[in-house]
Amino acid sequence: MDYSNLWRQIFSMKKSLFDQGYLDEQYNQLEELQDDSSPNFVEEVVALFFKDSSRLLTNIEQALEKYPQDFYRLDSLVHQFKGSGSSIGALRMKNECSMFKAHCNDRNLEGCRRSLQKMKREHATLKQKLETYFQLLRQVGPRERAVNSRK
Amino acid sequence: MGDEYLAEPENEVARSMWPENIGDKHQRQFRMETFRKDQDAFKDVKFDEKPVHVDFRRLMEMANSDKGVSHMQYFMKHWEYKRANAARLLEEELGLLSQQRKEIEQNKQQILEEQRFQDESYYAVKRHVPILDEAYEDEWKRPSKKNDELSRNREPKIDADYDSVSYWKERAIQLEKTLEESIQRERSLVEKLEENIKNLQSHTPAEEFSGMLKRADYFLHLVLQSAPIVIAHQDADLRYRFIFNHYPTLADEDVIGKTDYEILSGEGIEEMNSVKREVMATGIATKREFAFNTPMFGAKTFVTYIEPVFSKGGETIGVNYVAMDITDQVKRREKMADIRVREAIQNAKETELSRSLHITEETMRAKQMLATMSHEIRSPLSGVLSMAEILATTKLDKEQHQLLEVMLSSGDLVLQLINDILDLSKVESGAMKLESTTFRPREVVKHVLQTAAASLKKELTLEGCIGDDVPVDVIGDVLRIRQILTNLISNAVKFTHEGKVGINLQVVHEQQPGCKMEHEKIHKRAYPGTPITTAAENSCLSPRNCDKDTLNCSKHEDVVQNGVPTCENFREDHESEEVVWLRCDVYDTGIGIPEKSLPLLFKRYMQASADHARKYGGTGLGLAICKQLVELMGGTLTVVSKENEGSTFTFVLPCKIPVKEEHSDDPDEEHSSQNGFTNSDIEGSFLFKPQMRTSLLLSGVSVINNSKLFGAKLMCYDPPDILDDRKPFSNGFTSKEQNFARCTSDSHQSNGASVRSTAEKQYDDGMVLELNSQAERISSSRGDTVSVSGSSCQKTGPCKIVEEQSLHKKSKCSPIGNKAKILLVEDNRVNIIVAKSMLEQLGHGIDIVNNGMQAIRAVQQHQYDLILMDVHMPEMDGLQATKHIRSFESTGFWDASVKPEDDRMIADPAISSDCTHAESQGQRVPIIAMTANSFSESADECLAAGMDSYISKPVNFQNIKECLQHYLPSQ
Repeated sequence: MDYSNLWRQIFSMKKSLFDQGYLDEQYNQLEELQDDSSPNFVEEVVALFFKDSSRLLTNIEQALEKYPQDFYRLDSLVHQFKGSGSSIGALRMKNECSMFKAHCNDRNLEGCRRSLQKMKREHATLKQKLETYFQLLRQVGPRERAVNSRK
Repeated sequence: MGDEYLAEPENEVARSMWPENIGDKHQRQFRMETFRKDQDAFKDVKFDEKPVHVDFRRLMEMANSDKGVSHMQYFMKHWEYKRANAARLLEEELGLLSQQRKEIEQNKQQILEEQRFQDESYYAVKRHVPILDEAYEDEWKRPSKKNDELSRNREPKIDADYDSVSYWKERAIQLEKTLEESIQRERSLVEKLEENIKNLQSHTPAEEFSGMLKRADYFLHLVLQSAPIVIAHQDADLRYRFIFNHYPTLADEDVIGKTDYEILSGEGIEEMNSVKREVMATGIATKREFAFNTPMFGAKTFVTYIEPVFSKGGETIGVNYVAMDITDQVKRREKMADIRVREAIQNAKETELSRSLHITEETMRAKQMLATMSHEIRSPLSGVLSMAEILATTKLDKEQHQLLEVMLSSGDLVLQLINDILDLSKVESGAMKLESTTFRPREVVKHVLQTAAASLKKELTLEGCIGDDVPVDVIGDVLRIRQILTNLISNAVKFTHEGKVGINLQVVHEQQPGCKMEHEKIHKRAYPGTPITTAAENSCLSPRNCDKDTLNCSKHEDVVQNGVPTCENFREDHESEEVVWLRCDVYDTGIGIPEKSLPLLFKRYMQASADHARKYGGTGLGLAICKQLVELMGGTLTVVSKENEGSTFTFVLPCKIPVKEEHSDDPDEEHSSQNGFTNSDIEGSFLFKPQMRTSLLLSGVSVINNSKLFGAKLMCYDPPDILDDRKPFSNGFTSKEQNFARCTSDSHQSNGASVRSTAEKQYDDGMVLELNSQAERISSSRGDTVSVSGSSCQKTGPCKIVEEQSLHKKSKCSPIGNKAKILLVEDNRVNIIVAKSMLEQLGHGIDIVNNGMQAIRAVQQHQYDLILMDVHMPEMDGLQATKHIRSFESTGFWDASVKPEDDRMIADPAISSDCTHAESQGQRVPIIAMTANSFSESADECLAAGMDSYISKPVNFQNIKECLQHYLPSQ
C-alpha cells in the first residue's frame, strides 16, 4: 500500500472536514488523547457518540411529535445532544443544536422541526464521513496514526 | 342753531387731545404760521374749576414748550374759525332782516297809496272829482304781486259792502294793524341783531379754551377711568407736577411737588430715577420695566414709558411718564420662563443621561467584547502552548529545545496578558466574587516567596518577615491575596538586579496604618510593665533586623520567651477585635520608580516608561489588577519609591479572624503553650538566599548572620531542644506537612521522621516538586540531619536546579505530575470519556459519578482536591449538589435530604481525608462548573450556588489545565 498517498488522502479528508465546518478544534483534542494505551480512542468515543446521539435523536423526534410539545424537555434533550456533540468537536451539529434551542426558546415548532431535519441530515453526513475517515485510518495502522495525527 | 354748529368742533377738539394726532389734521386745516406771534394765548385762559392733581403754574411753563405752543396755535385757529363762521351767519341774518324791512317799507307805501286813493275816490264820489290822478297813477301800479295777493287775501275778511264807507274804514283799520305788526317785527329784529352783536362780543377765545379744556379733561377721565395706569409729569428736579393715578395710595396733594424718594422707599426707586435722569440727559424716550418692592404697595412690576419734555429753547424741563402695572404678566412670564428653563434642563439632562447611558453601554459592550475576545484567544493559544509543552517532553536536540523554550515563554506571556485582561474585566464588571476561606497568612507569604525563589534566575535574596501579632488563621480570599502578592513579588524581582526582595506582614491598628515604630509602641502600651513587653519588642524587632539585612540578631534563647507572649498577644487581639488590618509591604532594592511615573503606575497598560516596557516586558496590567483586587477587598494599595534605591508596595487589608471556641472557654496553660508553639512555628521570617535557593524556617528570630558566617554553606539554626519540646504537640512541621500533604496522597502522619521519609520518597520517585520542597526538607529536618541534607543539597543543588527547572514545566502536563484527586460529575458518556482521558493524561486520579446525588455521596466518602461539576444533570443538578456541599463545609452537617448512611465521616472529617489536616474544617473543596457557555447567565448561577469558577464546554486541555493550575495548590 502506498502509505504516503494514503496519508495525503487522510490529511485532505480531515482538512475538508475541518474546512467545511463538520469538525472543530475539539476533535484535535480527542486525537491528542489517543496514545498507545488506547490506540482506538477517537474511534471509540465517536462510536459512543453516534450510539448515544442516535438514541437522542429518536427521543427528540418523539418529543416533537407528542402533543402538546414539552419545549422544556425538548430543550434539555437537545442540550444533551449538543453537549456530547461538542465533546467530539462536531461543529455543524453543535450549531444546529443551538438553532434548535433558540427555536425551543421561541416556542417555534416549525423551526424545531426544520432544525431536527437538519440535525438528522448533519448527523448522517458526519457519521458517513467519519466512518470513511476511520476506515482510511485503520488502513494506515495505529502507530503511524499516533505520530501523524496532528493536522 | 348755535348748538348744532358747535357739535362738530367739539369732536375735533377731543380728538386733538391725543398726543399722536396733535395738530395733524388741523394744522392742515388752519394755517398756523401766522399765529406764532401770539405766544401768551394762555394768559387770558381762566381755570374756574381747579383739579387738585395739577400744578397749573407748571402747566403754564409747559405751554411754553414747543408742544404747548402748537396746542395754543391750534386753539387760536379754531377760535378764529368759529368766529368767522359766526360772523358769516350774522351777516346772512342781517341781510334777511334788511330785505324784510324793505318789504315792510313797500307795504307801508302801498297802504299809504291805497289810503290816498280811497280818500280821493271818496272825495271824487262826494265832490265828483276825477277818479284817476296822473300823479298817483304811477304809485298805484307799484305794489308787488306779493302785496296784491296779500291785500287780496285780506280783502274777503272785510264783511262789508265794497266801496261802502264802512268797508273803507274797516280796510283802513286792517292796514293800520299790519303796519303796526310790521313795525313790531322790525323792532324785534333790530333787537335780535343787537343781541347777536352783543353775543358775538362775549365769545372770547379764553372762554372757548376753558370749555374745551374742561371737556377734554372729562373725556380723558372717562377714558382713563378704569385704566390701571399712572400718568405723571415731573420737572427737572424730578418733582411731581402732575399725576394721574387711578388707584392712588396717596392723595394727590401728597404727591405734587415731591420726588419719588420722598414718596416711596425700597427697591426699584433708585433705578427708575436713574433712568429718568438718563432720559433727561439724553433726551431720548425709553420704555423700561421696573421691579419695585416698596413698603407702600409691595412687590410690583411696572412697565414705564418715559419721555423727555423740552422747552422751546430745547432744554429738558422734565419728563412725562406712563406706567402700567404688569406684575401679573411678569409673574406669568417668569413662570413660563421658569417652566421653559426647567424643560430645557430636563431635556438637557435626558440627553446627557441617554448619552452617558449610551457610553456606558458602549463601554460595557467593549469590555465584554474584550473579555470575549480574550477568552476566544485564550483557547487556541492554550492549545498551542500545551502542545508545545508536550513537544518539549519528546526527544529534541539542544537547538530545538531552545527554540521551544522561547516559544513557551512568549506564549506564557501572551497567556498572562489575556488572563490579566480577563481578570480586570471581571473585576470591573463586578463579576469578580470574593470568597472567604480560612487561611494562614504566614503560609501564603512563604509559598509566594518559595514560588518566586523557584523561578529566580538572579542573585537575589528573598525574605519574608511576619509580625508576631499576625493571627495564625484569618478569613479572606486567599487566592486573590496570593495573586496580589505574587504579582507584586514578581514585579519586584523583575525590576531588581541585586540586593533583596521581601515581604513584611504585620497587623496594623486602624488608627495607625503606618510605620513599624508606632507598631512597636502599641505593644508597649498594650502590655505595660510585663515581661512580655520585651519579648514583644524583640519579636517586632526581629523582622526589622531581617529587613535591613543586619547581622545583629536576637539570640535563640529568646525564642522560648517569644513563643509564649506572641501567643498571648495573638489571643488578646483575637478576643478583642473581630477584624484585623493586615499590612503587607513588598519591598525591593531595585531600579525604583521615577516620581513622575508614580501616579500612572496603577493605571491600565501603563508602565513607568516606554523604556521599561521595552527592557522588562510585561503588560502593565498587573498593578492595575492588584489595585482593583485590593480595593475590592476593602483595602488600599500604595507605593513608595525612590529611583535607583528601590520601591515598596504596601497594601492594607481587613481580614476577619475565625472564631475558635477553644480560645474562649479554654484559657489553660497547656492550651496556650500549645497554641504558642503552633503559632511560633508558622510565623517568623523566611529567607531565600541566592546561593542556596532554599528556605530557612526560623522560629521567631532570624539567624541569617550565621549563614553568612558559614559562607556559602547553609546552616539551619533550629534549636534541637525546642524541636524536642514541640514534638509531643502538633509540632513544628505542621505547615510543611500540609504542604506535602497536598502534594502527596500518602503522608498523613505527623512526625519529623515521616516527613523526611515522605520527602525522600518523593525525591526517589522522581516526583517533581517545586524547589521549595527541597528546601523545606532541609529546614524541617532535625538538627542532626541538617548537615547531611544541607551538604547533599549543596552538592547536588546547582545541577539539580537546572534539571528541576526544566522539569518544572513538564510537570504541568506530564503523567508523573502531582496526583490530585478529582471528582468528575457528568452524565453524558461522551463528555465523561473525553474529560476522563484528559485528566488522566494530565496525571490526575479521577472518580466519576453521574449526577449530583452521587457526587454528594462521593464527597461524603472521600476527600477530593477538586470537583468538576456538570450543571445539567438528572436527579440532582450541579447547582444543587454544590449548595449541599457548601452548606456542609460551612456548618459541618449535611442537609437531611442528603444525609449519608453512615456518620463516620461527619464525626471526623479529618480521617476521611487523606489530604487535609485537622483544622481544615473551614476548607472548601474547589468546585468548577462545566457550563455550555461561559458568559451566559448560568455562569452567574454557578457562582451564586457556591462554585468557584466555571469552564466552558467542551472540556479541552487548556481550560481544564488552567483550572487545575488555579485550584490545585500544588500545581
